Formats: sequence, C-alpha cells, structure tokens
Amino acid sequence: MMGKSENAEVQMVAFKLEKEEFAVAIQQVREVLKMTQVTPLPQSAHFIEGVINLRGEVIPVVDLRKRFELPLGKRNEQTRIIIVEIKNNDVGLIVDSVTEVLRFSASAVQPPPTRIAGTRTDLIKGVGKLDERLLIILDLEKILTTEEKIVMDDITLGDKV
Amino acid sequence: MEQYRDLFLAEARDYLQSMTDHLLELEKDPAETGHLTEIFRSAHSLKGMAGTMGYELISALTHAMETLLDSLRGGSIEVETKMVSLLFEAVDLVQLMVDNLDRQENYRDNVVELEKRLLAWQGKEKEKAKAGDLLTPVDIPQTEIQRPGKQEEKSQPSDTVNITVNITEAFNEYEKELLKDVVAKGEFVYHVHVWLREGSLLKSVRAYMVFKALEGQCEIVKTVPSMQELDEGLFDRDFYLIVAGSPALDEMRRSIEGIAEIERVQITSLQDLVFELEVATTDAVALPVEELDATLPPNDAPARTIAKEMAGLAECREEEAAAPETKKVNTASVTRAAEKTVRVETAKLDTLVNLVGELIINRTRVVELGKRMDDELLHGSLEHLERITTDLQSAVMTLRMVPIKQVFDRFPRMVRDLSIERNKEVELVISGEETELDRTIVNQVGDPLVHLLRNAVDHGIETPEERRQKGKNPVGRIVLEAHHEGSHVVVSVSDDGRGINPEIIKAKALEKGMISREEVEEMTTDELTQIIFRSGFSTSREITDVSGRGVGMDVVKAGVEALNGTVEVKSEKGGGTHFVLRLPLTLAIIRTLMVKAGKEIYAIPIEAIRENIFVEPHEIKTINQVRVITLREEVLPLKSLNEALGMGSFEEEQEVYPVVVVRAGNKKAGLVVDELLGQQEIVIKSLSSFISDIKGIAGATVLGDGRVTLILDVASLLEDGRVSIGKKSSHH
Repeated sequence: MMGKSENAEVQMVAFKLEKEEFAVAIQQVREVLKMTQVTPLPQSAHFIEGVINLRGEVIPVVDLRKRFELPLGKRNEQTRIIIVEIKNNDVGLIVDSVTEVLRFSASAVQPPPTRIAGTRTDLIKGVGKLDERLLIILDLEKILTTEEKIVMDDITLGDKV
Repeated sequence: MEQYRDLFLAEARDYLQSMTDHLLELEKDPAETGHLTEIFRSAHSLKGMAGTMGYELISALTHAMETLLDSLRGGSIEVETKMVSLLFEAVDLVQLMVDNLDRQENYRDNVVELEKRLLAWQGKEKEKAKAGDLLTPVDIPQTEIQRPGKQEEKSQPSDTVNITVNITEAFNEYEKELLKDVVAKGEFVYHVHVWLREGSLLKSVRAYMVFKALEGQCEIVKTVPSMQELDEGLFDRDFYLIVAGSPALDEMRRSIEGIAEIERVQITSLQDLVFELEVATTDAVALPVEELDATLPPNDAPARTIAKEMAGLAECREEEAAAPETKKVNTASVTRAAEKTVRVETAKLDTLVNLVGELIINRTRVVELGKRMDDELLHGSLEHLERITTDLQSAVMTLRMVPIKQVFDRFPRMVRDLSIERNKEVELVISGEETELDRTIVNQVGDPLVHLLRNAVDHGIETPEERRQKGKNPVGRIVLEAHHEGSHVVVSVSDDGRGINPEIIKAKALEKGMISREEVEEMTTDELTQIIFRSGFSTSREITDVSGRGVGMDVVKAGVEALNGTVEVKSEKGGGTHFVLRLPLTLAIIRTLMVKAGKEIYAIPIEAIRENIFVEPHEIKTINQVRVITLREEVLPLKSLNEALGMGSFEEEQEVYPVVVVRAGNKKAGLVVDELLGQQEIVIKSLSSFISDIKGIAGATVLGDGRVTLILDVASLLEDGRVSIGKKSSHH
C-alpha cells in the first residue's frame, strides 16, 4: 500500500473517535453498519462489546473507545460499526462516526513518526496527510490481538506532527 | 496436472489403507494368499500411478516392496513379524511422501536406505549393488494381475471393426436432432473409437485428455460409456465418441494418438447413417434392425456394428452391475461402489446444512407466530411445513454422515505396533465400524480414541507372563465398539487388563493435593475412578513414549466434551477397564433449553440437562460456603448462572428460583436462572477465533428475530469448582 509510485492512490475509510481522525484501508473494510443490538459476551476482554448477527454470521464487536481507555460516549445516530477483516476474521469496530471515503496519493501516506515522546508508534501503520488534516492509520491487527492496555495517548499524534 | 494430482492422492490413500489392512490380516493368517495378492495389487497400482505422475521415489519404493512381496508369493521367504514391520515402514514412508508431494525429495535418503533393506530381506543385494541404480524411472507396469471382466475378448482389436448401427436405437431423440442439424449444416459426423494401452492407469485422465484434444476441433455429441462413467474411470480399455463438425481427420487422429497410454484410434464416418436417420425418422416409425441393415449400403459395414457394440457395451455394463459380490477381491466391485456416489465439496455441504439450519430457525418462528392466530387452515399447513422441514433436515444431515470406519481403520496397525513395542500380546476386536456420524465429529474423535487405545495397551493390558500368572489368556483383548443410541453414538473401548486400582488413585490424588482427606473418605470407588480425567493426573509409574506423561485422560475428556459428548470410565481392579464415549450425531443443530438470566437469553444444550426444578429459598442450605439443595437425597450444589458468567450475583430474596439441573461428565449442579423459556432447536454458529476460548460459552446462535444468543458450555461452567457465597463477582 505504501511506498508505491508517486501517482498511486490509496482509498481509506475515515472515522472519528473522540477528537482524532483515523483511517483504515478500504480493502480491509467489508461494510459499515448503523449501531445495532449487541449481545454481551461474558468473561471476555473488557473492550469486546459483544457479538452481533451479520446476515446469519456471528461477529464479535469491539468498542474502540473502550479499547483506547476513552470515556464512554453516548451512542447516537452517528455511531457506526465498521466491519473489518482481520486475519480472515470479520470483526466489528464501534466508532463515533464514519466521515468519508478518502483518496490519498500514496506519497501523502507517511510512515509513523518515530520520535514523538510517549507515542506507541508500533500501533500505527502510517499517517495520512490531506490538506490540513492528519489521519492516523491504525494497525488493527496489533490493536485487536494484544492483551495489553492501550491508552489513547499511546496512539494520538497530539500537536507534534 | 492439478486435478490428476488430487486423483492420485485420493487413490494412493485408498491403496495405502488397503495395504495396511491386508498386511495386518496377512500377519495373522499367512496361509491366506488372498491378502498377499491384494497387497501386491495395491503396491503395483501405486507404483504405476506414481510412475505416470513422475513420482520417482514413490515408484522406486513401491517397486522394492513389490519385489519383496513377489518373493513371498514365490515362497522363498516367509511371513514374519519383522518383515511385516519392514513393509509397514515402507507403507509409512510412501504415506509420508504422498502427504508431502511437494517435498518428496527430502525423503530420498530414507527411500534409498529402506529400499536397500527391503531388497536385502529377500537376498537380492547383489543384483542391486547401488541403490542409486534403482532410482531410474520405472516403466509403466504391465498388469500381472488380471482384472476380471471382458478385457481378454476385447483386448485384440482387429483392424477393421465390424460396426452395425441401429441408429434409431443408439441415439436418443435429442441426439438424433443434433445429428440431423449437423448434416443439414454440411458438417460431418464421425465415430471415434479409442483404445487405451493394456494396464493403463488413470484411465479417466486419459479419457479427459482425449476430450481436451478434440476440443476446438469438433463437438462431442455422445460418448459410450457416458461422460460421467468415463470421468470416473468406469470402463475397460476402450470407449467411443460420436463427434460432429468438420475436423481435419489426420490432425484429429494425431492429437489423440499423441496422448500417453493411447494404443490406437479408429475414426469412422457416420455420414450415410445420418442420412438414413432422416429417412427413418421421417417415416415416423423406427425401422426394425434387419430392415435398417438392409437399407445400408454393403460397403458401410464398419458403421453397422456400432449400435450392436453400443448395445453390447451397455449390456455388459449391466451384467457387471448385476453380478453378485461373490469375489472378495474384485476391482469391478470397487468401481461399482463408486458409481453410486458423487463427490461433493464439503464446503458446499456445509452451506446446505447452514441453509437448512436457517430454514428450521425461521420455521420455528413462523410456527410460533401461527399459534397466535386462530385459523384452522393455517395450523394445518404449518403442521405440514413442520413435518417437511424436519424430514428435509434429517435428509440433509445424513449427507454429512460418514462411517466411523474412517477413524477405526488406522487403529489395528497402531495397536499392533504398540503391542510389539511394549512386549505385549494384544488382540483388537472392532465392531460397529459402519456406524455413521457427522463428518466433523468423525474428524475429531480420533485423538481421544488414540489416547484410550494407547492407554489400554500401555497400562491396561498386562505382559503375557503377568497374565499367565493371573490365569488369564496371555493374549490381551481390546474391544472397540460403536453403535447408535437415540440421537447419540456410543463408542466404547474396553480391555481385559489389570483395571484401575482405586487405592493407587486415592494415594496419587492425595499426594498431588488434588483432593482432601475428607473428600476421599466420602468418595465412592466410581467417583475415585473418575479422577483420572482431571488434568495433571497420571498414575503411570514409569514414563513411556506412549502415554503416562500426565497428559492423556484430561485430554480425552476435553476432546470429547468439545464435541458436546461425555466420557465415562468403569473399572474393576483386575477386571479390565471400560471407557464409554457418548457423542452427538451432529454438531450443527442441537436442541436447547432457552433460559433468561439478567437481561440476556442463553441456550443450554438439552444433552447437558437432567431436569428443571423450582426451588424455594428455605430449601437452600449452605455447606462449606456453597449453596446446596437436597434433591432426592442427593446434595446438589447451586450456581447462579449470572454469577458463573460474571454478569451479576446471586439474587437473594426471591420467592422461587427456577433451577436447571445440569450434568457434565460426573459433575452435577443446579443452575439458578431467572426464567425458563422453553425448548428450541438451534443452529450452532462458531465464534470467531478472536473470542473462541471464552469460558462457559460454547458458541452462539441466531434466533428467529435476528438476535444473537449464546450457547452455554456446561462442562466449563461446572469446572470452576465452587462458587462461594462470599465471593464478589464483578458487575458489568
């Protein structure tokens, strides 16, 4: 995805969480749903909201706010579940809102900044620049498979870029 | 080559299994030459197939096996255990290469070494000075073993074939129309007769290659035998094609002759016949054969026999099919079995099963809604719908059923090797191997059974001396048995060995701190015996290769429970051990009791439920900080479902508690729920691997209204030991 020729374009689904904007490659996104009924899953990781029925398949749903130790926001009309595919598994991500599908030229996507104090760059695949906007491209696989706590500070860019 | 490779794989595995089976039989009964013939045949076929595919190592190894087998047949050497073991070694190595076709080369050294030993056994070392010499490509073998059938009569095709055609009978209406069309278009019709070389293997592949070669040159109107039969290799050596178009005859001939293993091709024009056809059909009545013969020009003799042969072929095919299965070893019977089956991708079956599952769920929902209406007609048709869908469900479920033989097949060999290694004499008796159950269960029941059988040989059966001293038959006996019991399959493994000594178990469990002294005193012998299923427990004094590493029985239990089954053990000191596995017929659809706890609905598999009761608060007592009730003079621990799932705590101060009495293995408990909602059939959906190991949850299902409901895993819920009252559970 990255490091292709200058003209190459990448498409990303952009979403919001608290004040930050994130993006995930469109190839990884299967669909975006409105918030739906979630069946809680006992004795699972705290950030797992539960399971939903997606056309007969049972799919786990992660609350990204809980994952990043953010205060729980109210679910509203904007709340979305992004169904992404990770390691051949479908997983739903609850986000505050899905803003748009963006096109970046490949050159606008840069590797994660390495020298920002307190930033967990291993969770970031890259940073997309679009005019004045900065979008954090998450490494979803890492975020969903590690057991350790991830605090939002770990992954936000702050004002330092 | 991909598809041939799959074909090779499937057939190679069959041959290897057959070799294993017959080697075992041969060892038991060396006088019965049928086994030897069969092993030889399998090795031979395998060699030929491997040769065709260019698998040089497999071919070389099977060749060496054949050489040894040949000396056996000739009587220059005799059957003995070591030799059978050597042959088994070869079977294993071939299996290994078959399983790793891409990495065959890695086994070259093993093959060379084993080849040497195989040949050394029958004293042919001198002839084969260097093993390397052996690894020259092996010729495609001549069939030494005559296959039954008509091949002799047909094997020498004369140059001119006398063909007579009764065209009105040889083709069906559709084909006739097609042929007429062809002629009307000014194209030609040819009869292409193809003979394969004698002993040709992968016949279906050759037939396929013929089709491929003809593709683009002309259109295939008909084949005899049918395409499907050709595809399954159900023909002797030759087949016909009726083709239409304007092919260049020479090129057509060359392209077919260019295919490996094709002996000859004969192409005959049927043009005149087709003209006749027009006459015949415009007359509306089919001409009798003699009459048609008469109408044909005499120089068209070749064309005339086609129909006869076609009819003849069809007849002999029927004969074959009708022949009673008298011969034990008969390729025809093998192919006949194949005729009745169609290979379907398992993924397609799974989809079908899933869809039927969805149908059942929705039916349940519709039936429920229907009950609310007061309409005779509606109720009638709903009832009908219920019956049909239930039948459909069971019909579809049988599609996924396979005989447990698939698993049992590998055990005789395993037990044999093991008993030799452990210096024991063991006879394995298998029965009920035709018992069918769901494919997924068959695939997974193997490991637990391996453990049980290994344990039986290793710990159960005594050494021959020990058995003699005890006055037992020096040959130990292990019985592996399967049968249906309601909606379950029961598989038992029994041995007549030394049995389980409860005293040793008691001592060991105490030593390991698995139970307390007081507990021991209260336990019955039977309960003590069940301790072997707890993890970390092993009574074996010595550690062997085979078992006794402290894993085993708990693995068996976990494996069986993962299949929604149960395992029990009965044993008498000195009187053998008896394991009974109860497995569900299918995993896809189960009956459950729906219960409500907190805000959620959960499904409890009916298999795990003994009964439902209502308990009043005054009946609940507390022993060792555990809530219990007395149910028919038995003390039953109570567990709040919410609490067990970490979703809430025990609701004090209720007037009455609905309790589901559940059982898993030998544990029983009462699950306190908020409400009992009734029984329902549900389709099990697996949870994604991110969340698959959640304690207490076996899976999920989607209800008729689209909601996801979790299915409880009773075994893991009960495992937790005891929920004490003082324990605060985390609220959600």
